[in-house]
Amino acid sequence: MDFEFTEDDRAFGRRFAELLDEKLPTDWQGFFAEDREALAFTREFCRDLGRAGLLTVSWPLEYGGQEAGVWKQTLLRELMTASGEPRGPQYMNLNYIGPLIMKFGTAEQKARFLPPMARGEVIWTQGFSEPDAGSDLAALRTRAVDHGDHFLVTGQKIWSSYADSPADWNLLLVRTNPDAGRRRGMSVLLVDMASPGITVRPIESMGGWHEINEVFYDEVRVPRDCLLGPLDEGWGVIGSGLTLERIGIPRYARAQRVVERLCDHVRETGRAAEPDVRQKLADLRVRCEAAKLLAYRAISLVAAGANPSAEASTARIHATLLEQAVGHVGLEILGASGRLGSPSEDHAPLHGLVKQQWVHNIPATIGAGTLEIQKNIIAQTALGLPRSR
Amino acid sequence: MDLTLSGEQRLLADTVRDLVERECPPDLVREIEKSERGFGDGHWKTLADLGLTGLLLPEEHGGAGQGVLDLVVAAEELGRGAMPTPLLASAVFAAAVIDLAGSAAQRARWLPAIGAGTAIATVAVLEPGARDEWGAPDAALTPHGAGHRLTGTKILVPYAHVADVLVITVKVAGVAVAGSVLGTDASTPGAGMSTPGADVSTPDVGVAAGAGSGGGRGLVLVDPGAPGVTLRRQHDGGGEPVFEVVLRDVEVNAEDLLGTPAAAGPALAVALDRMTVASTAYAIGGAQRALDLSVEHARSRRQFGQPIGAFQSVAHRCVDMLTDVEACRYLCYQAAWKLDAAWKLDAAGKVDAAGRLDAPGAADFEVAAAKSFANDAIRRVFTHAHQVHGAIGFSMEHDLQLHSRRGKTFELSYGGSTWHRERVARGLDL
Repeated sequence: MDFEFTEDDRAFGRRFAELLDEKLPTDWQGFFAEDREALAFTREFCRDLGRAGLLTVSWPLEYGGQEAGVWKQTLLRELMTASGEPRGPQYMNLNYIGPLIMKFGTAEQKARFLPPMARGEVIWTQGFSEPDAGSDLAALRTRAVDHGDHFLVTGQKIWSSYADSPADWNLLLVRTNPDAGRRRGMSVLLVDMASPGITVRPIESMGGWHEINEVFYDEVRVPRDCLLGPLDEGWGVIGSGLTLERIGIPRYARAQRVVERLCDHVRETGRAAEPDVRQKLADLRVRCEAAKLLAYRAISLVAAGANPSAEASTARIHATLLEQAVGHVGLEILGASGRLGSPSEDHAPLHGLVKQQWVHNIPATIGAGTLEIQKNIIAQTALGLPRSR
Repeated sequence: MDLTLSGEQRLLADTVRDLVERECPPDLVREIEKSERGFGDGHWKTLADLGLTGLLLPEEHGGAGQGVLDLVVAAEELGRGAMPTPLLASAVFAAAVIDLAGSAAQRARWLPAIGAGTAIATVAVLEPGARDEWGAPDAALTPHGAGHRLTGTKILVPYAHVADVLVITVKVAGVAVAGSVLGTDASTPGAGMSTPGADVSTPDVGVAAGAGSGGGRGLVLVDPGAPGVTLRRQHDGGGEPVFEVVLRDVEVNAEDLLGTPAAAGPALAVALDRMTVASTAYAIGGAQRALDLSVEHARSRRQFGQPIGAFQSVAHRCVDMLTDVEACRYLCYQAAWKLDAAWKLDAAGKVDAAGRLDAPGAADFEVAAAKSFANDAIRRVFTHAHQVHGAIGFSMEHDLQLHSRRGKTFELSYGGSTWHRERVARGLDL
């Protein structure tokens, strides 16, 4: 057991932090701020990182990585997330879409899909939830009919992140065998978003610009070589991906950055001596540490070759509740002036950082499996409790 | 970075767990708690034979020279079985104070015996009205002839009745000591709660302390059988025998003074951090046991025609317990690791006490993070555990109470959440 990064890892982190300082625009508010211009920047930024081999440092050389190890990748992710995700939608490529293709893909699929991710040239979206299949994902009905050399996909997905960025490709969970039982008979398809028959309808969210979408599929033709993993066994493929997704975003790093900015703020405004403020900020900082350590524990297990499902859910529960607490408690510390939350507003404390933290984390306990689903996973897998509804 | 236990650490945990399950069943714990002695002599010998009493002690004094990280792995298993044992009071807390503040002669006299388990030492630090262990003592050491006399009252001193030596924190009259690095001489007059840190920004506390108060802190060794020492059993429900120690004009000679007053504060601060982390590990073991009992109950207890664990409201309480216990565990491991990293033995395995006291606050954040989080989290865990168990968990016949009583004692010992969060706040430059 060792709680320290190697000097080599730390030096890598320092170099990357310098690079971020240099590349990020001075008025950078983060990808999730209400600034559509940010998306254009993220595309350019990803290509730059791709050229420097920094998007997928932990990947094998043959797919455009540097085989730099999981901890350098973790430090890099932390800096990205803390800085408001300058990679934009492409964080998902590294977090789970790429690793899923690496794990379940054919040699051709790996050669075709992974290098563009490493070069920072491709935006992926995903299609899991449907209007009548949210937490009960196995109730999904979007149908892929097997026509031998291709599938024809018809149905509707919802909450597809970044589909209108626009996304180039889509990791899509569909029903290929309606007679095989709820969790059997599903498959994962890699779908070219330029295919005829796809319609994207952005959903306006509380977070401002369109990051979530409905996607309609009308007899969309998907070649058979775009089937990821075994036919009818997509549930296991997705389950493995969700474990990675749950620990892929170092949410604690963003939370800690906001806590640090709040500490600066109360110091600058002469409120650092207020016992209540000191207690609240210290509590949030401690929770950042707890969430980070639980993520590191799950990553340690992944590094050792395990698929730590309950551990990933434990880490995610701490991180998402922490992110929400930082928004709520932070705004309470700011008080009335915290109502001004848009970066463009004069007098917005910390340029609206804390209010943004609040609003963008309302769905933190909903996406990638709700808090309740995470708890069900832990109850059943780690505690051996009966299935409950 | 690697947050998995080493093979040796897993082996140690398994060994201690097997031993506790075999030799310390809950019914025996109940029996021991009712006894005069308050711990099992057989257990004590077993722990000593296993090397736990000497685990942390320097090799030059017959110890194993291992780290706090190894200790917490073992302590968690003792806590899981609620084993009453002087191990932490003697071989962790008292041994650390003697090791860090003691003269060569004092260390040679006590450390090998404590490490072998043939002697028991305990630290008397709390006084009536105290809210934490960091407050300035009132027990007064005054010059008398060639030596000193000690008068004062200590409370909640664990295992004082079997101690071969008491380590006592005292106020040293006429010895001016600048506030120690951790500001352990600072106190809020009358409140009984110390403030973490010498340069606390809160204006109304921590000012009239240290040098200005006309006294420094000292540590002395006292024979519990000496004239003027009276022990009286106290009952705090924490499962361990604790005592009021009244000291009336107890004779203290030069060789009984433990370190210089300047070294006493930092030595006590480092020893308290070690004890805080060790006791956190013991408490985590109890919380883990409460979780295990709750899960067993949720699986077997049927109401409305199904196991109550099939109700999501019950299942999710169990999960909340697990996520809290896991967070406590890794914060505790980290604090232990940091204590070891901050006070590494030198290359020759020799302990340089003076050198190790240069930065007594080096693990401030990690220790304070672990204890502040664990205090609140373990309280939540036992609240859930009692709710899942229903009425039976309130019964003394059920094992849950063994752990929930200890959990509350833990929360009230070695600094509450507010105290440790203030320590974190200072680390954030607030």
